[in-house]
Amino acid sequence: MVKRISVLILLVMAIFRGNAQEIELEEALRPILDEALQLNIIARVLPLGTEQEWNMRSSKLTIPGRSIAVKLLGENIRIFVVLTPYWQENGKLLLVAQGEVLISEMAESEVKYLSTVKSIPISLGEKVLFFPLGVSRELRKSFNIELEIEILSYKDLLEKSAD
Amino acid sequence: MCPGGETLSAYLDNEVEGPWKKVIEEHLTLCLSCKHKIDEMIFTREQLALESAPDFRASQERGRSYLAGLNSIEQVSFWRRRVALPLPAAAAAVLLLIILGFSTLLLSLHTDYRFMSIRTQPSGSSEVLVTAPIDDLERILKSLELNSSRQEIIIQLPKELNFFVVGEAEMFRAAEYKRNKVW
Amino acid sequence: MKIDQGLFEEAYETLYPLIHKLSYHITGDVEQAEDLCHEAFIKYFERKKPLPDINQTKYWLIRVVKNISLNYEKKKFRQRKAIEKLKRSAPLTADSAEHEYIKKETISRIQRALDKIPYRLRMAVVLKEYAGLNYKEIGAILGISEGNVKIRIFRARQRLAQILKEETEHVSWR
Repeated sequence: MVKRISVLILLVMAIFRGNAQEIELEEALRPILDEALQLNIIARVLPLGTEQEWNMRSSKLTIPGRSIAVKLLGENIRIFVVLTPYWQENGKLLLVAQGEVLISEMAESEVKYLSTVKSIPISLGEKVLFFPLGVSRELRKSFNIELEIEILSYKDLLEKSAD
Repeated sequence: MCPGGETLSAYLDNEVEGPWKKVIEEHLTLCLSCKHKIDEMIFTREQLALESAPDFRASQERGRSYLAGLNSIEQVSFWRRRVALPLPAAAAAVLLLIILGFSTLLLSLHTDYRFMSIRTQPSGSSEVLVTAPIDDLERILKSLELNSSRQEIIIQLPKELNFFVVGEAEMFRAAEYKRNKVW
Repeated sequence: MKIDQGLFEEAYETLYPLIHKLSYHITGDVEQAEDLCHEAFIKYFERKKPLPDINQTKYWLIRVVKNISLNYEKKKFRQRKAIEKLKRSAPLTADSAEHEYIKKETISRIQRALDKIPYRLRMAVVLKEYAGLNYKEIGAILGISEGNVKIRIFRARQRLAQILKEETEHVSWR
């Protein structure tokens, strides 16, 4: 928890970099803390037939409008996903995922570059799946990559852990 | 002995070397079956030759004005991206670029940006066209990435696996995706 | 680094008709041909270093068209499958499929026949018949041997002849 708070402080410092001295840290921290979101991200490599899936979990704190970058580095691929949550007027979150892929597919010596922007309105706690390489329903031969993203309110999490 | 169809086809394309060419020529005067085969190939080729592509001029002009538009963004190098999105998503993407791009980055760059246009397609989806000098776009992407305090996760994917792109990137609510899978 | 405007202009002026023609015969679709063509020239423009002569530029552009058109082909394949699925599952929503069909009707029978043969055969025969390239050049562009080019062109001709023949018979029966 200490680590998390320190991340938040860093975040706040970064935002108010210019005039940090004039602003009371405590004062600034409160609204930010209330707004803070925790992104839980699981990167999965989808199973081939019955094989065990591979996965990697990670969590980051942010505030609406600030991006979290996820870099996935593999043998023949670099995937760069930027996730940005926004609050919408209807009280729902809008998650914008910007994906960039650099890939060299086996037979070709060239490197392909792909980019997309996708967005989806979601609620807190709702899980979203992002497939930077597309979804394969037929091609069983290739390994596919999936990012599961869950956005939680940091304040709720704090309250829960306090209970 | 009759030459194979491939050889006849190559002969038609003038891709058969000197002595062989003579042999085939002679053979064709004697063998009705081969003569018939090659006549059929000639007929197919003629039909293809008669086929004309639609007029290119209007298309060339459109391309020219597009390129000229890009060129007028001061720098000669450019970068272009097309993303087809449903309208709300398009609006969000624009918002994203405007909020993040303009507020955090462009203010410090003092550049005139005319890099985005939205076209609504008859199908209801809309197309966002992003055009900007490549250096600046790289900076925009960097700002999206960095955003002053770096929040970054680096994940090493398992080794000795080769990945393939199977389609456009997609995003679903997990609940809905699972349901689709059951179908 | 600055691109040489003169060289680029010249390439655009001289090669657009050819690249457009090839794009059309490969995709069989006017709009896609235009997109493909524009994309290829944009890529050339992006190179920053113009190629020294028009012939090299031509090969370069054709190679780019070949690379991009493969993506179109894959997409078309997926779309075709989707339309078939749509037709099976919901006959009432076949409107768009019908539209597609009408659009196809305005395309000539030769182009339709080209559309029906596999992509790798089509690519080879289009480069032969519409770009007037020799086997060596085609091989270099497609990254295959001359012997392979020979086989592909022959098979393409065979298939085209068969499709056109069947079509003629079909018409005369009606």
